Amino acid sequence: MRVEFRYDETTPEGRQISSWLALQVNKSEAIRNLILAAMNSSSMERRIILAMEQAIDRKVRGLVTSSQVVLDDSEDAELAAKLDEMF
Amino acid sequence: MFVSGLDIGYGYTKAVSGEKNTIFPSVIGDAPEIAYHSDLVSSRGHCTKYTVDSKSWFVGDDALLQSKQQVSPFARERVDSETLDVLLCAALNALGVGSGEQVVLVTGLPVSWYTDRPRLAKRLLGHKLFQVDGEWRHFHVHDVAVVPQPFGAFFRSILGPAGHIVNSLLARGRVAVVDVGMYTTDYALSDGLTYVEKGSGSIPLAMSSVYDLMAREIKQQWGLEMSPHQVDRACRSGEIRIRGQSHAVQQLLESALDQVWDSLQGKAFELWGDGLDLDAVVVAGGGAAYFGSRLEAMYPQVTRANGNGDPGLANCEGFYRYAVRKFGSYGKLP
Repeated sequence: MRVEFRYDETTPEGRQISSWLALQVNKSEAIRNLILAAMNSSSMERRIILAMEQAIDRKVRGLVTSSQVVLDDSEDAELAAKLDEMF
Repeated sequence: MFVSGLDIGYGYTKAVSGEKNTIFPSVIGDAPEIAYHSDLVSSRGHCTKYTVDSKSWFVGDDALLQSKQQVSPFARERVDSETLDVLLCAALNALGVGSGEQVVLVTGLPVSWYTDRPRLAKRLLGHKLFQVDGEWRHFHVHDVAVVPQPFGAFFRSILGPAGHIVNSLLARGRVAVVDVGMYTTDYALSDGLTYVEKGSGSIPLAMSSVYDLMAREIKQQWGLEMSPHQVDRACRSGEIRIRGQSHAVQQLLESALDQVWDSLQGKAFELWGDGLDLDAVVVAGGGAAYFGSRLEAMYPQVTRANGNGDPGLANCEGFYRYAVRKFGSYGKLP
């Protein structure tokens, strides 16, 4: 699964997301932590949005919209093949 | 086709299928006729009797409560014992397996006994005929996959409910798993989805060691003898009651955890050192709730396999997700 965060830096919301990501020492680590925080839910997209909102600013609600989070359900073929041969 | 993840541990039997799960003590015992059933206390008013191969048993909490002779699947012979058959039937029955249904299973074995997997698979496969309170039921275990126990927690971390890889970063990474069970603690290492033997192993120390130490202290202080399951319950409730008086057990628990932790962290260090090259350390098992913070102090990259869920079910949830993947096409099972 691939997760994309889309944001428009010309909007205040987009700038807030962008500045939050810039503050992270390691951007991919920050996104990985968001995904880990969001994983244990049937509605993963909603949880990612909430995790991201909390990470950016706990006081702000509704900052991140689902259009800014795009889930791609396709698997990495190489990883999938390796997993299927594991046991 | 009925798909299930099954974890018949020393302490507890766990099984998962879809949204359903069951967890009960891995104990069976003789099933005497109970002369009086209270209508007022429904959860204790009736004990379910399982009959397998003409022998009748109570299972789990019913056995702990009512059976004079209790049997647990101790030690390595559990893969070949009739206890295993009874626990299997009880677990799948609790999940609602249909009579006559075909079943596919993923289950686990401690890392150091993983060579026993053909024996375990052979025991689980085939037709299972049993009675529940005198009513005949049967199912057929069509296929079984046996994986090293801690890989259940790893699968829980990387697979979604439909068996997709949902965490590619973790799947690609160098990930250690610690599974603190009742009688064994299992360690496993996956490097880009390759099982690393030299980074994996088991030690026969886990929550039962903690409970033994506590039971000894309780016996010494108050003269009360307690079984591991009774101490387990006391730890969950935070107290023991002696002659109607409540006594907190937190201090006893912490002291016992400290003693057992020395060995647990020693094994982790032997396998993974200070863990600088590990992307994540996944913790699972019933003992994760007790040792999680200690592990986190040792390896800050610790992550719980199933988040805020019951860590005792994490392996089993992972077995189920792997079963959906392995035996069906992302949930579209025959």
